Amino acid sequence: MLCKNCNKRPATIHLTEISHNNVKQEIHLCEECAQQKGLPYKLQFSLSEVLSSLIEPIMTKMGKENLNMKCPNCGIDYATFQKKARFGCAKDYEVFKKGISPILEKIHGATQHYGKFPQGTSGSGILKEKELLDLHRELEKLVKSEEFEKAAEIRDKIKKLKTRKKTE
Amino acid sequence: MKIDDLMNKVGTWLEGKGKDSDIVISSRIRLARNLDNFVFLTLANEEQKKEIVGFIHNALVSAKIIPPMHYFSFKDLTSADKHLLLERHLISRDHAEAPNGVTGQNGSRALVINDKETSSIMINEEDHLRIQGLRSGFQLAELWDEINELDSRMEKHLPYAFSSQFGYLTACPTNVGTGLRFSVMVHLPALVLSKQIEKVFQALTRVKYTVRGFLGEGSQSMGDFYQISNLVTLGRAEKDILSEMENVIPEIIKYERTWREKLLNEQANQTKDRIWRAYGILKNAYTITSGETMELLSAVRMGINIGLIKDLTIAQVNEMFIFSQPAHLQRIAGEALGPEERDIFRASYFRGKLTKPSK
Ligand SMILES: [Zn+2]
Ligand SMILES: [Zn+2]
Repeated sequence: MLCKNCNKRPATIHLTEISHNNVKQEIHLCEECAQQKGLPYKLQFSLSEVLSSLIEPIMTKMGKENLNMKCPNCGIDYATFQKKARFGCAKDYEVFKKGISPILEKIHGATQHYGKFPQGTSGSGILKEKELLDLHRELEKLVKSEEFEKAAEIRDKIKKLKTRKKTE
Repeated sequence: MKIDDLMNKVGTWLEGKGKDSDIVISSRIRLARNLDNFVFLTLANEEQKKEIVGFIHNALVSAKIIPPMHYFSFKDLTSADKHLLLERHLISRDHAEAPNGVTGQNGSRALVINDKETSSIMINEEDHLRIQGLRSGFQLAELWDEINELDSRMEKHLPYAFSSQFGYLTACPTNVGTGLRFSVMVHLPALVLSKQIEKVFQALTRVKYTVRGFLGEGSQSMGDFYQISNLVTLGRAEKDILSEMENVIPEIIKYERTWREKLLNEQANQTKDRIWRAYGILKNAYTITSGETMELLSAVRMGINIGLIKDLTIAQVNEMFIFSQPAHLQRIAGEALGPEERDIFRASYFRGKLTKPSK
């Protein structure tokens, strides 16, 4: 397809514009014309497009045996997840863990949650995990700022909490 | 509360108050949450979706969130109602345009909103729950406190899908962790005029932010309005995401202000001409498309900000933005209008609003 603006170069940027009267309109431009128009074209690729391109190389690295992994709860397999870039249920995160960690690393630059923990029905086990995480985080900070004495204190706290967790 | 009641007022997020409200139209927060005991919406069938809606409705009633918040099942809403809610930024385009169920009665989606239109809960959009907060101007911290509290109250009555490693589990891996997306809608006419906007986009992309148009996902920007959001939701605490945003957005505000001054100093006549010409068209034209409206209102809004236009307020312009959209216009007209009729009716709406501007 040729660029709709210059009719010379091949169109590599495909946008959907919600234009007048809420009509959706496809626009096909070459990179140069898009840039001239000042369009933030790089941000307009659909998210699932970007995701699939992230997931594909990871899949080949994972090896074939993993591709057949199937969630026993909702029944989706890894290939379906790869195609849709959407999970079928909460259990998938555990079942496909090996496959999704590198994806999360690419999207978020992290694979560990550091935010809010549910205080409600989910029980105190999760809160203890939160305490551990907070301590690990603090430890990281102290080591970085070379406050080793304080860091040693935190390290001991972590040890204690871990043994308590085991005996429970 | 009925959907028609929305026509009698402007949501408080449009009142043009709050910090930096000359440039920041609104601050928005969205939390994505799912239930542990149901499959995600990617797989749920109509029956399961209805079950989820019922389950959440009951939980919100026992949490005493409904009432005071108002509950709307989509089976009671017309397509026009849903577009009105979309134009009010209370639901997403996806939620508004979801096809009705096989029976033509869509009871598988719902919406909960409060009186002031500052918080809303979409049920069965991409995730089981999308909790949203909306405020006028740059008010992310206050907004976060309000939505965090709502979420914590809901958490006591709803078994959220959560893992200590991945946080709140979402249908799409881009939302997992905090499930938190801050979005700030900014008006950047000077950066667009001076062609600096591409630089801003590039800088934002490098620090993992996204920029989208007026109506969110998939929409192209019109009239120099952009929505800036964080992309990273995993590996950082909510407060960290918040404070980063509170550092980034003021930089953009400062940049826009610098260029406004520069334009006014170096291209005074062109800038003034642009603004007064836009005001003149809005006051006098007999047909105006919605795309043109965005550009005209953008210029007029900037005119007020730089002190050129004195007989209009930002709140009035914000109101005109919302009420000149297709679904709102047709409510005012009291009937369905074709595209051309709409453009004519829109122009007469502006003439009516602007011939005797209220102070
Ligand atoms: Zn071209
Ligand atoms: Zn599953």
